[in-house]
Amino acid sequence: MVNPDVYEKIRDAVIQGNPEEVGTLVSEALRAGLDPVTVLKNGLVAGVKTVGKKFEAGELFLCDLIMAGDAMTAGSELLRGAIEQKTQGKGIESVGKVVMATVKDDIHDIGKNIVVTMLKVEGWEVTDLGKDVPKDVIIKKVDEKKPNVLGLSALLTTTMIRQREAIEALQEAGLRDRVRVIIGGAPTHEGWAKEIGADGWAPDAIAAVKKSKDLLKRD
Amino acid sequence: MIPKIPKFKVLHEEDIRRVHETSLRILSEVGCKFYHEKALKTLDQAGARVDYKESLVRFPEELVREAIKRNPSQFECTARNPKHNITIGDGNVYFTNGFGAISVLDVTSGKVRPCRLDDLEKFTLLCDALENVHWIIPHCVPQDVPKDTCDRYMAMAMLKNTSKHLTLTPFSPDGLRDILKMAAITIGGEEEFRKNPTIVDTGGQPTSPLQYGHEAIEYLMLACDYKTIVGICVGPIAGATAPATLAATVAQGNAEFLAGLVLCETLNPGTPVLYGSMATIIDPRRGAYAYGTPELTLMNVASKQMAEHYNMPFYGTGGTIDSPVPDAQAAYETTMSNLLEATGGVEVIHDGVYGILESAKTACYEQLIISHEVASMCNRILKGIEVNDKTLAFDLIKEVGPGRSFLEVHKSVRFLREVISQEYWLPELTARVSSRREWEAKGSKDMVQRARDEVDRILKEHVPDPPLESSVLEQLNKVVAGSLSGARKA
Repeated sequence: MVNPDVYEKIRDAVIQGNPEEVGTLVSEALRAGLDPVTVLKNGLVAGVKTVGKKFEAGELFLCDLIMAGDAMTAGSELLRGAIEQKTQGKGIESVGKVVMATVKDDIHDIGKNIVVTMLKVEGWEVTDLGKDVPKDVIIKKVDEKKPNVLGLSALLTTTMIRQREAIEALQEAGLRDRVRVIIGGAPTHEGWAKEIGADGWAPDAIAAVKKSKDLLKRD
Repeated sequence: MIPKIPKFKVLHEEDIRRVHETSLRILSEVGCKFYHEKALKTLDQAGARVDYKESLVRFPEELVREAIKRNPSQFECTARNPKHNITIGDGNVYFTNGFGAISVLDVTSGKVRPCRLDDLEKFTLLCDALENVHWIIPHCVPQDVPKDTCDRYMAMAMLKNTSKHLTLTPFSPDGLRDILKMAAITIGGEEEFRKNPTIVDTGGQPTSPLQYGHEAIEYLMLACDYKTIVGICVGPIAGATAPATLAATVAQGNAEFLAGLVLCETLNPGTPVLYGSMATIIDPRRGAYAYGTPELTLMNVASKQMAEHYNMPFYGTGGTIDSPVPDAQAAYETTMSNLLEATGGVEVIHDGVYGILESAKTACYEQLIISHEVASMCNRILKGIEVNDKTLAFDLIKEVGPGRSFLEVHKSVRFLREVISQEYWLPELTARVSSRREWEAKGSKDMVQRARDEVDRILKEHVPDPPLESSVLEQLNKVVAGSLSGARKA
């Protein structure tokens, strides 16, 4: 009845980073009446996890990871409706919720974007606020989205202080205890994270994902 | 050192033409963003096509051509001590030290710690002493002073430890005003500084792809107002902030520079704008930028050729290192880019005497000395081989004849003594031992250990010539203190 090859094919198409192929295969699977949650787990997630592991081991490139992420997104968009129906509106279960921003006055967002991709790959629900984000927007979104983790990125020595300002603003708004704050960016370091009262610091994207997971466990 | 050898090139004439044409198309069809109302208005009035809603500026070719013409082809960089004055574009290749590390490696313990203010003082003092550092830039960013006023502390640390030409880096427009005030104090005040603004240089960098942020534009405006040397150092990263290929990255970076040049030459025609680049590639495995790469060298030499095409000097990035320790990898990385860019005639090799490891993150005292040795070796290569009757020495070859050593004939030995200083590189630190025993007797020290000894020696013996007078120091301290009381407490 269920052809296990379908999952394998979806997995391979994700690993190849081919959104069109993933779209075709997922549509076929839905038409064949396969369980959408199983398609997600055994197909899309399994594929992207393989790529994530190989990326961490240095066997695959960043572009492979981004393309696999794109392919997974294409597939999960198609599955969203069916999964919501099946789970009575609860939707796709996520590892946790995270809000990400590159702080005000900083328009360098490549690093933050890599972290966003990796978090998505790892199954996080990510709200990406983009670059040059003022602290009041950050506060508003934290209040609205109620994330487990807030990620603040800064590339410049001149914009690091905006990380501190955002954390202070969280405190003033009475939201500091509701979210774990993790900071990153080339000039930042562990000592700076401590100084400004962040919950964690990550030197690169892989560490950022690990740190986010650790912070989640503490909740 | 003025290169006496044929220049190393990576682009053919046809390539230069195509890169230039692509840059012009980027500027006229795609445009560059300027997040600054006044800059948009200035460019609008100059004849650029401005979309205020998108902060986007598209440039007609004539505007770019005019700006290129207005930029001088030689810049004098003055120093507190005139013996350190240099003229960029006079044919010489000059070196700076490294820029902007945030931590320091203690080689003995192998531990990395945050950079302190006294590290910046020491690195500046070392660079003041090292003859192949012609121009000093902020080697590291201290982590033990208040962030809001860090730029004034840095200016202070640098001004008092050297009399060479300096780049001072601001962290805010107010910071830049204070820093320029401080530079002015060291040469006798605002009026003197207006007359001689080339004592420091500053600048504003675009953010690839094709954007100038608000603060960067503020810096450019203030610098143009004073007509200090304005550095515009583009930094596209192939595969991340520029297309994956090196050709596209060079063309995009070139367009980014030209866009900023148009703004500066419109604001204050004739402002000396220095074309710089730190173009490199993304590490495709990790997504971080890689700094010690052969691709960086290729793109910097290519950009040098573009600058030359525009009759401008070039400020290229060389000497840079990815290795996290001062090892063999660090040595070949710092050597390759320095050597090829020097032979390419890059007027100022930014980072040449590097002294930083780990892709610009971690400063290393020993590496500074090692990279300095490399710069010295590059200078010897640039001197090339002098060919004339005397140096061909036919008469001597005839006199000594086949089979005899040139050390047996008095005349020939005298000739050796005469030409040693002109022909031979005479290193102080590089080991040239004729026997292992001799090296062992001196403590079996490797280059890193010998460099450590040299660091200790210089720090113990060297003082800037002349030191800053105490009355000047007092005035500088007042500026720093003023900025502290003005800023909120850290």
